[in-house]
Amino acid sequence: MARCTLIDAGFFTSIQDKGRLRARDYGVPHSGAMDLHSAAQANTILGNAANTPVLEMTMIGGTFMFSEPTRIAITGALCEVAHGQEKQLTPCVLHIKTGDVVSMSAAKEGNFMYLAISGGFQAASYLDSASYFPGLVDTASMNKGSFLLYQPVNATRTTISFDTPNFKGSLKAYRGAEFYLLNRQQQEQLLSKSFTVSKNWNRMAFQLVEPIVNDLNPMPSSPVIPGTVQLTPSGKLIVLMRDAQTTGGYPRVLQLTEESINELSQRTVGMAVDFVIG
Amino acid sequence: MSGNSLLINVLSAGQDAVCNRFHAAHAIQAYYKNDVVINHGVESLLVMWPSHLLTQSLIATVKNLVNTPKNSILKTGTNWKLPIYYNRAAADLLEVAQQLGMPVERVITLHKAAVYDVACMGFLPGFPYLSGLPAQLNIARKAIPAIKVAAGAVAIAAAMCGIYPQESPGGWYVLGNCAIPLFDKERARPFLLKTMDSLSFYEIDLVTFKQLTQEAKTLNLNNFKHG
Repeated sequence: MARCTLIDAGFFTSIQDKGRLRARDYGVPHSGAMDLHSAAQANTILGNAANTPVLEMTMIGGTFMFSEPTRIAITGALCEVAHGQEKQLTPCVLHIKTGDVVSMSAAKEGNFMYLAISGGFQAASYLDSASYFPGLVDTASMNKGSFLLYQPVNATRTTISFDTPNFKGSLKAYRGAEFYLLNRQQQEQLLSKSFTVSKNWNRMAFQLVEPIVNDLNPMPSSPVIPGTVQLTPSGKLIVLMRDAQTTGGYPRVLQLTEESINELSQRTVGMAVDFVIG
Repeated sequence: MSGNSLLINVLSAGQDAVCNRFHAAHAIQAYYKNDVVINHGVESLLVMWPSHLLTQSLIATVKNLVNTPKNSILKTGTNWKLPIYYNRAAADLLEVAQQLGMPVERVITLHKAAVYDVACMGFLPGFPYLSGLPAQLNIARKAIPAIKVAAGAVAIAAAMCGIYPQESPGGWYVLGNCAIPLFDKERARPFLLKTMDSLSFYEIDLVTFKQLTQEAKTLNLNNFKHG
């Protein structure tokens, strides 16, 4: 088994796959890569199954040393990747030789970066997923000097094209279960106003800056999923993300499409967010 | 399973809603078997289905199933009896007694006399939202949540009771501590409770509580079932 050593772990680095769906009724959050599209793309390009565990890094990429030949793909937020004398921007595929060091910069655009490896990292799994979540899969929290195991492969050079995340544009949403409790004016505000990503964002939720008038009562705890947009008593909108709790007591005014959750995850503080139905 | 989801609000409130929801969930799961995933809220259901099922016909079918007369006898979950230790000097318990204007002893008597239903799970892995809290014990959430609530804490707020499966911040008032771990990754049944289970509490003293806590990894869960 080959080793990928973390010379520098980057920031908030964890192992992620598509997450756990079938334990939600025990109160277990979805989890999984914040930008599932970019994570899946990194795997697909290497010929891995889409659910293969990848490394997710937040805002700052890591520096890695590989003990055996392999291929890796880096996708998601835009950053610079140094590999020997070569420097390039993500997304990219690298052919790794024994002892190679790969160093990633801070994100230039976007939040989350993904590093996939041929055949996948060996990772502990619980409830059908290797995704990090405290108390479920703890071993995935990454520190400087820790290492991940992988099966070496002989790299063959290929040329592949892939897309970069969409950092702009409206987010597509469906009307939420409590959308109809809003009055006409509130509904129009929600769909016409431009909102901004606040500094309160993490794997559980992205909070938006601009409030809308809210006179709705809190409700009994109801199921929520990633992409559910909640309207809090103060009128602030909270978009739930991958590690969100499975139930919530605030009105669910919108539900983002899967694609829009991926797009929102890459919006940085201060960027515009607006919603369209459909 | 990636795909689509549908939120259904069960229209009636209170215990009726819980019963209607259990019936609806049973009917939907029986019809679609493992093709759909169902999540429970206190008065609502979430149905998730893979993209190979057609959305329009699924919505129509689910609506029919929800409205089917509830004449069948519902098979509910396990009926638990869980040991609880009430620390009569604990700050939260004293605060609840004061706010509700009754002696601490009365709070405890009311709390342990009730039978609770697991209305749904949420908040943390293994956390049950328990309906059936006596109306006299209805108290609002804390204005400022506690930074640290212990694993096993049995707490009340907003007309419900809950049990913390792990240490966590929390906004509910802690009445006592349950000696049986609600979540243990190593256990054959990792999550003690599931939606549609019911439970009651029986009081134990501190010595028994400590003893059970020490034996937590090896307890036979069957000893904590009714009947």
